[in-house]
Amino acid sequence: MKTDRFNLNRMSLLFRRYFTERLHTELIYWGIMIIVFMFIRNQMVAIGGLIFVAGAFYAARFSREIHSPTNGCAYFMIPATQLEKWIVAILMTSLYYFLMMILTYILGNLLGTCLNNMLASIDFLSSDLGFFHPSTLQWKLFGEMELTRGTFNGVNMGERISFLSLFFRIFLLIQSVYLLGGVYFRRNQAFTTFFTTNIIQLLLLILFIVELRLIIGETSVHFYNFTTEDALQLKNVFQNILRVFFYLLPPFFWVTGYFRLTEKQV
Amino acid sequence: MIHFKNVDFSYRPKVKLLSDVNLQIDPGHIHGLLGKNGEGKSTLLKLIAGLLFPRKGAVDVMHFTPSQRPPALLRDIYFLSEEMPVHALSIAQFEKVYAPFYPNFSTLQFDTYLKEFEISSKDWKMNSLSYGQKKKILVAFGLATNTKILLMDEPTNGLDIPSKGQFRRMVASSLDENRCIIISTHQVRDLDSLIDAIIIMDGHEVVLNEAIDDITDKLLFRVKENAQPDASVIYSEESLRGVWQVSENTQHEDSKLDIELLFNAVCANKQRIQPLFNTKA
Repeated sequence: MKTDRFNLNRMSLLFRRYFTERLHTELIYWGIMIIVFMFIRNQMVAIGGLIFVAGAFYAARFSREIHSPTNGCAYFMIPATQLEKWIVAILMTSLYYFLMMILTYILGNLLGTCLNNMLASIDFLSSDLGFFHPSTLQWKLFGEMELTRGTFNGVNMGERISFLSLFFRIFLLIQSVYLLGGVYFRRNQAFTTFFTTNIIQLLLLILFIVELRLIIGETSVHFYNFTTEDALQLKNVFQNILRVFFYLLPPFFWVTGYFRLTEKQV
Repeated sequence: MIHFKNVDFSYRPKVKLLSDVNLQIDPGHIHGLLGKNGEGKSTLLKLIAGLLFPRKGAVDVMHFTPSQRPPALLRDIYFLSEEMPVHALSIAQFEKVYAPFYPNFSTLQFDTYLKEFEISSKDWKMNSLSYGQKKKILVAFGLATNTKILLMDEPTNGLDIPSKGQFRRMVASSLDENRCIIISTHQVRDLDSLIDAIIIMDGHEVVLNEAIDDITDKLLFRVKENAQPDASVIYSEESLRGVWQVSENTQHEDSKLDIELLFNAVCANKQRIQPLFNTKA
């Protein structure tokens, strides 16, 4: 085994460790998610909220073992670099979690619709399979798909990709914040991160308002009401800054979390 | 192999736990790490393992800085803490998950050690076992990793009487000239016949770090019926058999080391004992 800074073999061992140790927990967790999705499959706001909130809890609790004196010792003594351990945490809380959410949503939607059809005595064979009865989110994500034709009609394809991309970016941002909170706070990581981020947002908002007053002279500003060229330019600047922050914040939180992990003592 | 240079450590800013610790630990020995409660024995082990970082000074382990936790070092250190992690795994799964991280791990040795500890099945779930059984599994695993450094914090706690003997045999058989085993313990009687070097911590520093042969070469341990005033006596304590004494071994007499007596002597009169040794501390 190579002992360099990054080794895929060691990372695969870390993944295997995670799945072997938490197999039962994962199965129960995703099983519950399928059942929940069966019931809320047509409520887009609830689905989005569930993905974000449950994801935040998952991310915040992912690294909780490092705060326990006994489990923390075992974790840090595993012969792998902190970078490898942290990349595993990022991949598990962002990519894996998101894909599992989509998969369990599809399964929950399928099972929920099948159950609904059974209870309502709808003949499966004479109708499209229940899964493809579009829920609001499904419509947004996948469009209307019909089993009999097996085609994807591609209506508003660009809009759907854009929606999914935005959804995933917001998800990544939230996950990165809560993953950092998970390694930073010793107890009640999810709640502490929630309160901390709210306080920081409030402070940033106050700072933003103060800056607006200093620059523009008033606090009640709506970009779309701007008419002068200067104001439009300012609007673009703000929008670009926000866009850059939106893309840079997840990597920033991941890097900060990595350094926090390397500094962690047990 | 392990080198501490002017190491300070504290959990709280104004309360030093380790103060200006200098220490050199060589391979080929089983070191007993002794000290009163709160002297920093576990902390010392954690500094070696890279679980804690020194506030001042430097720790060097096999030319690595442990606080950086490089895999090249971690795969050659196994740390058995006093409180054991909870693994919801069978023994076989535990081996499957953790053994690949250690390139010198021997399944044959692991199986042999488990058998000796009377752990008959690898299908047993670790979280359903008693404290002592879990400890046996982790001791067996730690020995089977064949890491160059094996750190054990109170390893005999929770072991039944026959297992303590088995533990001593296993540890003794696993030692070679390249391996360094450090055992922190209060149960000195359990390890009396096992350890061949002693590190004593007192007053937040290492006050003695010597091989047992060197200790018995310079100190004489004996029991006398009547205590006579003698300038060579460093420490004495009364018992039912008479008066136990630790004195300077000026005549190079043979005596059997009594670790408990040595520990009490060092704590009571380190000013007289330390100069006798060309200490590695």
